[in-house]
Amino acid sequence: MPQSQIVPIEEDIPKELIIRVATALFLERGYSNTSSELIAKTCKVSKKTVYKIFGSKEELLRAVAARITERAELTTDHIFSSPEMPIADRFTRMLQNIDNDFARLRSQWFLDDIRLSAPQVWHEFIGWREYRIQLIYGLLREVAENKMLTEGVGPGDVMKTYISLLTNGMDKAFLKEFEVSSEDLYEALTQVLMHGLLVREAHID
Amino acid sequence: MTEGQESAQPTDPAQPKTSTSTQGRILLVTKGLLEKNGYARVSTEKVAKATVISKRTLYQFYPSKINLVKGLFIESVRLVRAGNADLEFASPDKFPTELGKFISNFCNEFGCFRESLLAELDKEHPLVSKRIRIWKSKFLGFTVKRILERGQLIGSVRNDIEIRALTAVVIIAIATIANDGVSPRSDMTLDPEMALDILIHGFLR
Repeated sequence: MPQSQIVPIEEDIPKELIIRVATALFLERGYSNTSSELIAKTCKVSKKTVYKIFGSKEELLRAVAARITERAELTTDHIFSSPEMPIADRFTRMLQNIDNDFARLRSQWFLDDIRLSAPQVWHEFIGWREYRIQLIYGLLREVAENKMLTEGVGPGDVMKTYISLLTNGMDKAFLKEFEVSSEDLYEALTQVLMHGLLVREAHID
Repeated sequence: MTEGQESAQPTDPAQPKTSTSTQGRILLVTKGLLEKNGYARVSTEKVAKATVISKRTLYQFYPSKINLVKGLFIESVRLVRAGNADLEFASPDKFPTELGKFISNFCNEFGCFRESLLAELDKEHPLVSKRIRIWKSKFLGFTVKRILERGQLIGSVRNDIEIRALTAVVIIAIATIANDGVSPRSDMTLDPEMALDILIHGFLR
């Protein structure tokens, strides 16, 4: 997973540098709490340059969100369109391919912030997320049709549990309190939901 | 698992209150009303009326609304501990059931103190909400970790995930099951038993 860096470095294309820096700052500090000045200063460019390329801070947020969602699509789209791959593998890869930036972008505190300060971008992202949820749900239904879900558990139950837990867990204050990184938590969450808390042999019917 | 519980114990000494005693009934009613309506919309009048006692009798036990909350907190802590008293986490056969019992018990007895209620208390009684939050997070942080470590020791809990992340997942699950947190969408009400089942056994066969 490519880790964004806040440290400014020489770069040929200021646009890419600005997106990279803005991604790191937005996701770390929140959108409304990050000024265009801070972004420009961190990039060592003038505020004018930022506005010349993006027009507004909201437009920059849109570009940041687009970059993250495109990356999510790029790494996961082939999974949806590979019926020959075993379904459990497809599902596992689907969940494991979601990166840290994406997890932070879809976290409740970040979304609450942009819902108020950039409602249009929020709306677009929620729409996109809804579409992705439907894709995952479709995959889960296939898992169910292949009789690979635990007995008595339906695809809807898994979906609800997964999304509720993810939404509650990707909370800044929570992560800080329990001293766990969002990557580690995401990984653990996925593993536990798929295979349970117990070691394989410990499961009893 | 007694040491950690001791350190997080509230300072007020609490006598056990049976559900048939007047005091016990008052607290049970308070709990139900707080769960349903939140703090602002509950009044001592409503509590007295629903308990079918006079306001005068109520005031003998709890002279104000916040006293009801404090009393309920102490009683809930007692009930959480009482419910856990016979859980040993010593045998792999019983571990999954005992873990389920621990989680259900906590959600039943302490679920009324969800974040939305505490946020309401923050305005008028910040010291009370702070104390409840500290107890909750210390108790869960310590106890869940101990239970999982115990589980690993007896070979029940998987040890391929870092204990802090695993603990965090279980705590999020508890919060989610107790409906203490954000529900991403209105159609996503979680069936607590189903969620618990998925947490312990996983959703993949």
